Amino acid sequence: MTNLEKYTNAFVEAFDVDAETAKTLKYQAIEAWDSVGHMGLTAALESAFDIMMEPEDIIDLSSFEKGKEILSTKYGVEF
Amino acid sequence: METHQVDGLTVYRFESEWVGTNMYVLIRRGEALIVDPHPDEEALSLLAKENVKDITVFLTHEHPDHTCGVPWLKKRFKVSLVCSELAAKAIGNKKNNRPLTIAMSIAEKDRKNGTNYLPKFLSEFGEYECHTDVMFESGMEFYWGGNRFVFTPTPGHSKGSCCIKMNEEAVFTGDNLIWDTPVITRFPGGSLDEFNEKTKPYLDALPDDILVLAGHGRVFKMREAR
Repeated sequence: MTNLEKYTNAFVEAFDVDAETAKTLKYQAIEAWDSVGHMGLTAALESAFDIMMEPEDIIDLSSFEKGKEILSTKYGVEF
Repeated sequence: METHQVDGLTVYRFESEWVGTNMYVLIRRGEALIVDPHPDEEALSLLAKENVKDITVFLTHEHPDHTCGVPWLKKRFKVSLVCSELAAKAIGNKKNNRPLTIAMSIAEKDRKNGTNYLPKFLSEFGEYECHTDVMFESGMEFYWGGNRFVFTPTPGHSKGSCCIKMNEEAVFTGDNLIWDTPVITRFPGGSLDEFNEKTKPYLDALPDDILVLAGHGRVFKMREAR
């Protein structure tokens, strides 16, 4: 499984959406991605990539695309 | 701060500044029992005034808004920590003790109100690990100051959640039962199925007159919540 697939799956599992929808998501754009859902997404991403994210980065993770940027620049995940 | 009387003991309730989490404090002859601690200067003054040296801490569950006062207390007092085995396992790992939900809430308020409280909060609340002294798997009786406390695992909001009944007169429900607020089971480790199967029957069986000391919000009698 590629890193992009692992990354997308974290959104799919956390928010119960399909992969295509996941790629368009932004924070609070759907009911499931609220502050509680954000904790599930964080746990899924940290588990998928075996990382521990900084609180500031977790707060900044405001969209599917922004999350890719954070993971690649700060946690060495290549997409 | 407000107070309630339970079997002749005063129960002090302190509400946290950031997300309104309740900390309950009971004091008897230089010892204190604290449920779900968070840092609070008024509580610290009360403990100093009562010459408290030893503190027993009960946790209703492992979420950081209910545990963030443990390291704060341990810096100042001799503390014995009591919680479920599953909560103990969670809080033993600093990864699980990041106050992320609180930080998210503050960040949202900052964005909405144009304030900038988040950096101050993050500088004050770092990661921490908690060592548990007494834990239970399927339930436990614990005596403090001549009072009987019965711990019952109540999963659903989190894996390590429990309710703590005091002398059949009051119950600390954590986030399993909050006034006028549905239980949240969507956090990692939460489960609506487990809540409905194990915790709801426990809550439904509580007597009408028992005082509910909830994890957030106001204190109420069980009959008011039916």
